[in-house]
Amino acid sequence: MKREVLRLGGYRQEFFVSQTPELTAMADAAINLEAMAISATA
Amino acid sequence: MQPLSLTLKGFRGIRAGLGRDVLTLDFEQLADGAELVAIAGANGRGKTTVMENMHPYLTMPSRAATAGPGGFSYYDHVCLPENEKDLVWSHAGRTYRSQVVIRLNGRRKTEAFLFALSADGAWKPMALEDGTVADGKVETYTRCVEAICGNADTFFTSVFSAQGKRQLSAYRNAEIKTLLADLLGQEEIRVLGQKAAETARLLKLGLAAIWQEQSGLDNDAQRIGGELQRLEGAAGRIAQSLAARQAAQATLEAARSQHAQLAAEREQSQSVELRRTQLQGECSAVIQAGTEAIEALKAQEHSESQRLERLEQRIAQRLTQERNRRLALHNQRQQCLKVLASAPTVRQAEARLPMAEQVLSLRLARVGHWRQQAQRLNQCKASEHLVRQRLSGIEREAGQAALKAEELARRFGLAGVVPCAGTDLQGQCQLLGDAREAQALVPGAQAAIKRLADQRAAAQEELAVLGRQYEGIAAAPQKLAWTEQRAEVAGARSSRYALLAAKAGEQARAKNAFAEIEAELAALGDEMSSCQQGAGTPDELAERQQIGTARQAIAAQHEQQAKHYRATLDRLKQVLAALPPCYDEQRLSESRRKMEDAAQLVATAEQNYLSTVRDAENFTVLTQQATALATRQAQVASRIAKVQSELGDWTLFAKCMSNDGLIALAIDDAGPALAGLANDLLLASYGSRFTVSILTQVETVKGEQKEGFDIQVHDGDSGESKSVGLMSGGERVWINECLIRAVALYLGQNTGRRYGALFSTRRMGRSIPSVSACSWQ
Repeated sequence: MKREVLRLGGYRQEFFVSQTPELTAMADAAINLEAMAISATA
Repeated sequence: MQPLSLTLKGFRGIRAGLGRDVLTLDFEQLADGAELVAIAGANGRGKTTVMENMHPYLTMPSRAATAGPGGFSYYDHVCLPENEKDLVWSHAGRTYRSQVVIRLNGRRKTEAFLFALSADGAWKPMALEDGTVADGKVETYTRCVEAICGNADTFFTSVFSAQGKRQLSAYRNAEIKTLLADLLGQEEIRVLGQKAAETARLLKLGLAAIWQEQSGLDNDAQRIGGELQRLEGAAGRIAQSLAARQAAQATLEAARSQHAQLAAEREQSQSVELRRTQLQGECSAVIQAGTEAIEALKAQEHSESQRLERLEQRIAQRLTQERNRRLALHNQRQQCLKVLASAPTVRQAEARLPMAEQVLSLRLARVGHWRQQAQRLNQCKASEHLVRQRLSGIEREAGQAALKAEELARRFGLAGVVPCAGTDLQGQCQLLGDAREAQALVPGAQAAIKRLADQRAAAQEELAVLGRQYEGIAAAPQKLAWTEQRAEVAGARSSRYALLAAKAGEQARAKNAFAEIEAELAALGDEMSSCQQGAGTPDELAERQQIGTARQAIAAQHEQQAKHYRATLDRLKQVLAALPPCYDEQRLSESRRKMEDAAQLVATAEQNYLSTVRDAENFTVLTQQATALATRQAQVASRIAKVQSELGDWTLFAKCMSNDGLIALAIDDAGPALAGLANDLLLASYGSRFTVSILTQVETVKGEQKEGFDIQVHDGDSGESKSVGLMSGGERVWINECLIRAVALYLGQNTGRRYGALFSTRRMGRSIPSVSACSWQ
């Protein structure tokens, strides 16, 4: 549906919040906040 | 609107999730060219915080308590003294930068700046065509952002699917229609509708005022009707009140004439009263003059009485003084006689005093002689006592000396009888040695006995001498006592004679005083004769006679005056008795009262007459007012009918311009297009199972159509149609998403407002896994 919306509306992008790896894997790109946590980088 | 980069500083969600105070995301780098961009991370990492700040509006949609101003505050979501949201974004080919600074240090304050990237690559404050410049204030910032990106509600409803946001099916009829009206650009119609409603409201207020006026007119009409009813027949009552007034005036005239007659009679009687008053005044004057004359005579009589009283007091005082003096002279005379009674004794004492003094001196000489003899006797007794003590000592010592001589003789006698005498042992025999020692002491003892015998003889001789002396003065104490007694008697006699002789001067003075007292008593005379004199001295007698004469003259004058005034008073009373009797004022006051009552009746009748005339005039005026009032009532009724007609028109017009009128028709017009877009999305997501249709009229339980809103979903598998509110939760989420996105697509196609990106923080339901997976394909 999201891609159909983008196609029908001529939108460039959709940002969405993902709680599951499956959904994240289906995305074209992912901004992973886990990698940005201080404890993870430290 | 396309976000390019985002920096968040001091946001609680980021700090709690990532442990950072500052987070910067460059979306061009992270998601360049990607269509679907997932923001991933475990729960609580801050995904929603990031997503809800990827727009330039000053809110976080899922955290806002209510839509619109005041529904959201950054202060609850930041923690540093100075916090910041820095968003670079592009829209319609231009690049903008939003800087929002939230301060917690000291006084809370939020500043929001909006910059636009100029052709030379510099950020410049955004300025609108109407002159609004983004100068840091929240108001100007919001105005600039809405000028670029449109209304916040439209933005968040169409392209921002926030977590926890109400589903379209959950909105009430008025809410969903207002929202769709905003989305469909029906603001002008709605504003017209509001104006029409305002006009209708004002017409209602005006109508209420006219109704109030009509009510007031009705009250006036009722009041005037009551007054007219009360005043009915006033013209006929005028003649009656006029006749009553004339009758009262006639009565008043009669009372006035009677009062005038009585007043004339009173005038005539006034001369007699004047004479009566004059005579009474003369009577009073005579009484007063008589009283004053009698009082003056009484005062003179009183003065003479006081004078006589003072004379009597003076005589009594003089007699008292003479009595006291006489008594004092008698006392002094008695004392003189008492002194003179001892005159022979005094003369005898004077004669015997020298002899008594001589006897006294002789007695005293003899006392001196015997006092010396007594002293000598005492000395003899003391000497005898001493000699006897000494003689006793000598005899005791002589006894001891004799015993010692015998002892020595006895020891010496042993020399002849001891056997060792003449032997060799005699040198060693103690008895013999002791006898020879006693022999040597015997002469000393004999000499001591002799000396003591001599001393004893001398002492005895001394005692004999003392005995002879003693015999001569043995009676000295008795003689001394006898002579002392005699001397004491002689001394007492001499003192007595001396005291009596000392009274000789006193006797002479008493004799002289006696002579003077006798002379004074003779001058005072006898008391009885003094009392018998009574009237006193000639001066006193003359004064007493003068007082008596004066009192007799006053009594005669008193009698004469009394007789004169009594005669005058009797004559005046006879003249008064001859005058006619007094005028009766009671009749005149009665007449005056009747006249006043008649005047009061006339005034009352006049008042009644005037009141009746006034009522008749009022009746005429009220009749005219009732006619005018009826005309105004007809006019007001006409205005009410006209305003009610206008009110109906405007109310109908307002309803036509409301959500249930043209807006509902617009929604009806947009409904198929919206439903078509939603169905396209449903077809792409789930295949041909679900199709939706949007209804702006719903059917009641009675089967009647009424204004409302409903989304009907047709299930191709089961062939049933039902409201989206009756579907399961998962199905409803997906259909709502399709509808939301359909609205955004419709807006993009029909209003020309296009946003570059879509945002979704909503959790997608898992109740239809196949459908969920399908939606991604």
